[in-house]
Amino acid sequence: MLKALENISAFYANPTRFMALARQVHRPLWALAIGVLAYGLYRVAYVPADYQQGDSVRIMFVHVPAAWMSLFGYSFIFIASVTALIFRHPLGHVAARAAAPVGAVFTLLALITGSLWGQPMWGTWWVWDARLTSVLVLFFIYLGYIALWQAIDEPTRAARAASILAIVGFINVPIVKFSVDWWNTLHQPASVSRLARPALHADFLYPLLIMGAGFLVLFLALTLTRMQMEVLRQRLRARAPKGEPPHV
Amino acid sequence: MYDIYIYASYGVTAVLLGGLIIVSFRQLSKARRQVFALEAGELKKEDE
Amino acid sequence: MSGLMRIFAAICSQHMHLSWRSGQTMLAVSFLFIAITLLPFGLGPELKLLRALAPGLLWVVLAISLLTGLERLFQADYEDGTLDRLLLVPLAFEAVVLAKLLGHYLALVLPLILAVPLAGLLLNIEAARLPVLLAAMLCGSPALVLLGGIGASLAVSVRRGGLLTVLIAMPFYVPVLIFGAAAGRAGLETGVAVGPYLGILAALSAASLLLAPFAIAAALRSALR
Repeated sequence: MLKALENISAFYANPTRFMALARQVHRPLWALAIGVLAYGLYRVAYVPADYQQGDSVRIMFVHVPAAWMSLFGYSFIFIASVTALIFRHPLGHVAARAAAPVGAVFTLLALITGSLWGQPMWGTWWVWDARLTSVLVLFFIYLGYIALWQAIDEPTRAARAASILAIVGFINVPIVKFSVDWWNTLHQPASVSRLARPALHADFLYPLLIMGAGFLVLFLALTLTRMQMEVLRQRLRARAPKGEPPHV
Repeated sequence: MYDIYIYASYGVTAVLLGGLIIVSFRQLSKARRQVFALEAGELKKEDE
Repeated sequence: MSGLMRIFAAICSQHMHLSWRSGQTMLAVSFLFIAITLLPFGLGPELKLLRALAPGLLWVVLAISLLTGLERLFQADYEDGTLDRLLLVPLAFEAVVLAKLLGHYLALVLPLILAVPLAGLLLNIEAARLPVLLAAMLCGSPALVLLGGIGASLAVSVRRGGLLTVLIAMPFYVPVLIFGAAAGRAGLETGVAVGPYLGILAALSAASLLLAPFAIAAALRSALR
C-alpha cells in the first residue's frame, strides 16, 4: 500500500506542482481573456464598413483569428507531444490532449464563419477554395487525433500513440497545404476573391490583432482549464481499482 | 444587408466557444468532486 | 542472400501467404469492382461523364478498398502474439515492419492496381490511355500503403479499429489523391506531360518510405508494451 502510494506520488510529482501553479494562474488568465475579447468586440463595433465588402467585413474579425488559432492549436499539440516524448514530461501529453478539442472547435469555427462570409461574397455556402479546403482537412486531422485518444483505454499507451500521430500529422499539414493550393490553381482561375486582402488598413488591422490576441488568451485559458481536468481524471484512473474504470 | 450573416457568425462563435467553456468547467468540477470523494474514502479506510 | 535478408523475405512471404489464404485479396478486389459498379447507378450511365470522372473515381475507390484491407494489417498478429515474437527477431523492427508492408503490398495492393485497368474500361477509358493511369498508381500506391500503415498501427490495439484507421489515414491521402487524379486526367488528354505528376507521386512515396516505417514501428512498440 505504502509502496503503491510512493509510486503514485513520484509519478505525479510534476502534475501536483502544476496543479498548484494552475490554481493561481487560472482566474487571472480567464479575466485577461474576457477583458481582451470585450475590448476587441468594442473596437470591432466601431470599425467602418469596407467600401468593397460592406459590413460583411466584420465577419473577418472572428473568421481570421479562428483560422489562426486552428493552426496555432495544432502547433501547440505538436510541441507538447514532442516535449512529452523527448523529455518524458507527463504534462506534455496532458497539454496536448487538453488542447485538442479547443483547437478543433476553433477550426470548426473558422469553417462555419468562412462559409457564412462566403455566402454573401460568393453566392454559395461552400467554395472549394484552397484555404477553406485545407482548413477542412486540418479539421479531420483534429478529429482523428481526438478519436485516437478516446479509442485507446490504457492511458500511457493512448498518450504515446497520440503523440506519434501528432508529430506525423504536423509534418503532413504543410504538404496538404501545398498540394491543395496547387490543386486549386489547377481547377480555378484566380477570379475567386480571396478572403483576406494583401494590405489591410489600420482601421481593420488593429481590431483584428486585438481579436487575435483575445482568441489566443482564450485558447490558453480553455486549455489550462482542460489540463486541470485531465490531471484530475488521470488521478482518478490511477487510483481506481483495476477492472472497473471510473465513469468520467 | 449582410446583417444576418454577421449576427450568425458572431452567434455561432458565441455558441460554440460558450459551449466548450461550459462543458470544460463542468467536467473540471465533476473531476474535482470525484477526486475529493475518492481521497475522503481512502482516508476513511486508513482510519479503520 | 544474407541471413537478415532471408528473415526479411520470410516475414514478407508469410504475410503474403496469409493474405491469400484468408481470402483478403479476393475480398478487396471484389470490393473494388462492386464500388465501380455502384457508381453508374449514382451518376447515370452517360459514358462521356463517366469517362471524365473516371481517373478521380478510380483513385478514390482504390484508396478506400486499400484502407478496408489495412485494418487487419497488424491486428491479427497483435492479437495472437506474433508481433511480440517479431520484436525478438534479429532484425531492426523497422525492417520487420517494412517486410510486412511489402508483403501486404504484393498480396493485396498489386492485385487491386492490376484490376484498375479493367475497372477503367467499365468507366469508358480508352485502352490506350490506361498505361498512364497504371503508372500513376504504381508510383503513388506505395505512399498509400505506408501512410495507411501508420493509421493501422496506431489503431492496432483498438478492437474495432477499422473506422479509426480510415479517419486517421484519410488526411494523409489528400496529396496522393490530388496528384494521382491529376496524372490520370492528364493521361486522358493528348499532349499533356504526365512526367512531373509521376515524379511528385514517386517523391511522396519516397518520403513516406523514409518516415512511415519509423512511425509504424514506434506505434506498434508502444502498443506492445
